[in-house]
Amino acid sequence: MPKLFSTETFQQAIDTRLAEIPMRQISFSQKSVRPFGRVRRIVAVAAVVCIFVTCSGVLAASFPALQELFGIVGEDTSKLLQPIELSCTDNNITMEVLATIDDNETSLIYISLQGVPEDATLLNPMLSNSEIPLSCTLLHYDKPTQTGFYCLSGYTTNAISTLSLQTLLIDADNEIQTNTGLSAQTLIQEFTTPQIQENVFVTAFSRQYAENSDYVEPATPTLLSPGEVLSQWDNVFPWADVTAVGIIDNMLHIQMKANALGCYTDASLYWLNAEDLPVETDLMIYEFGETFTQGNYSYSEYKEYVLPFPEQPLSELTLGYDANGYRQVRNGNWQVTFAPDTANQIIETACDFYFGSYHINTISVSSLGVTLSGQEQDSDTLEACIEVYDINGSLIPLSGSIIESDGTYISLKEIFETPISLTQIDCVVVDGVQVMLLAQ
Amino acid sequence: MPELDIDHLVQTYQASLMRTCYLYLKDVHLAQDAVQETFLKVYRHQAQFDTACSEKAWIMRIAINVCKDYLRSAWHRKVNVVESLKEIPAAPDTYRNDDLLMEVMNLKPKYKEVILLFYYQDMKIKDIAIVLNKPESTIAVRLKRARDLLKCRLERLDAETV
Repeated sequence: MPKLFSTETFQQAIDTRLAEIPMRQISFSQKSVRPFGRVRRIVAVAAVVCIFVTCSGVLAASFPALQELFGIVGEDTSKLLQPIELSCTDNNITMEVLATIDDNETSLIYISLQGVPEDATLLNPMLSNSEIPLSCTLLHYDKPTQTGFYCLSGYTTNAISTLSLQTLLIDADNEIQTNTGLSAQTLIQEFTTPQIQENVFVTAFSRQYAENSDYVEPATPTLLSPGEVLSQWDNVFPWADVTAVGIIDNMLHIQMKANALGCYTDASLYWLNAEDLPVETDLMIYEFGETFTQGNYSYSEYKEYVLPFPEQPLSELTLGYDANGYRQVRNGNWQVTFAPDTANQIIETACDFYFGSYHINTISVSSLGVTLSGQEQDSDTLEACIEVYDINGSLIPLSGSIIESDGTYISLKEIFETPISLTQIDCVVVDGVQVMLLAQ
Repeated sequence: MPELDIDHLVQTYQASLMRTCYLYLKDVHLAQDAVQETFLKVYRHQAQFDTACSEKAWIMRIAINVCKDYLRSAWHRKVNVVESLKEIPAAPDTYRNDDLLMEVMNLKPKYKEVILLFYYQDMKIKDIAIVLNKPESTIAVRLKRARDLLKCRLERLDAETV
């Protein structure tokens, strides 16, 4: 056994077993590289104060929208918010940053957008000093003024940062289980000898796995050579321009070139059987070509869908798809620069709880949530039932939780659905044990 | 500040970084993402490279932080390490190493990272302390616990096989 723990044997064991692990081609001779399409989300975030306005921003003396926001969130929550009152206008849409609240861990930023339809989706609103898009909730839509009120949430920034929004997606268009009417047999007959390209620099790759799939994608995929737009495919996939189709290694390849709306479409291709039901197969999606950036969003010039033929009679299979996209896009440059304000008051109380080998020794409560923190020793999960009661004895609704751990220190934060005054909070109950909040 | 030859760094470190990220994240595709993001960060932040630490330590620090971010993501899913390893083709005589790899993958992140940096990346405790931003004493303790855990699990496996 001790021999195992020599660097040499350890390295050898890993290097020989993982010698064939597929690797992507990475090169920095390209003009730009898109760092893959993973989506990251967070549960909640922090507050900040506006001091500057960039873009065409102006400092407003008083925003009627702020009063409207106060009406939406209610008097109790309004008292907790710090008015910001800064705005900027672009492409006939005005973004107003109305108010914020922060507890030094998470922050909420309340904004309004004037001149947008009710179903507008804010694509990746960002703070300049964070790489994680803010999550967004529509609080209220005022039809006469076409104004949406939103709550953006994210991690606290603790530094001057710029809130930016550059793309609005409108009129969602979701097509589910659409049968293209193209049979597998026809496709195999018509596209058997495609023009191919090898050593493609793949800018992003994603894969949907079939259950029990044993297909291992190659490190360097063989893809179709981009061609002219094939007009006969215009009606098959309305969201994209098809530039090549072919069969390679018993897999259907369909290559699409992004267009103005299609670049925001999230599509999935599959085979439909004789009963018009999806057949479970793998789906590989390779992206390559030039990388475009539209606001905070980037995408590649080409997307190639690779769909293996399943072991079923081809005559029974037709090509189907799901596609979630939008019929309109509004681009602009809405930016407002903030600086953090003094964090909201926090009540901290010492306690002594053990969950497995976690030792929780502090409970802190702010207007945004309750946090348990302490030492981590050797457990895998911290599972504690946390309830917070207001002074009327009512349970305060929670919206989600954030766990942070560095291996020795752990904190679990439960976020309130809406900010609440500390004077309204009576007690915290952890696994049935009531904790008095002494600072009150 | 000397300019970094990023393509050379990719050539030098990609393979070992990919294996490290795979063992850390237990998912080939996530590991590919992590390696790509690591080099992208190296490329973008090369001006911040501190010559006081080695380029390897700097890259490993970025990679470990990227992996930690992925593990924190709400999208991170539980992975069956046996299934995950099956995805990677290998010569039949190398499958005997699967037990070791599986046990490494099943370690908690704080133990896994010290084991991988010390034994696989051949880094000194002093450098690992820089990479993980922890005191050297903490690294030494974790390394001992990780080694004990791994040894215990492998011995148990051996006994079960017999």
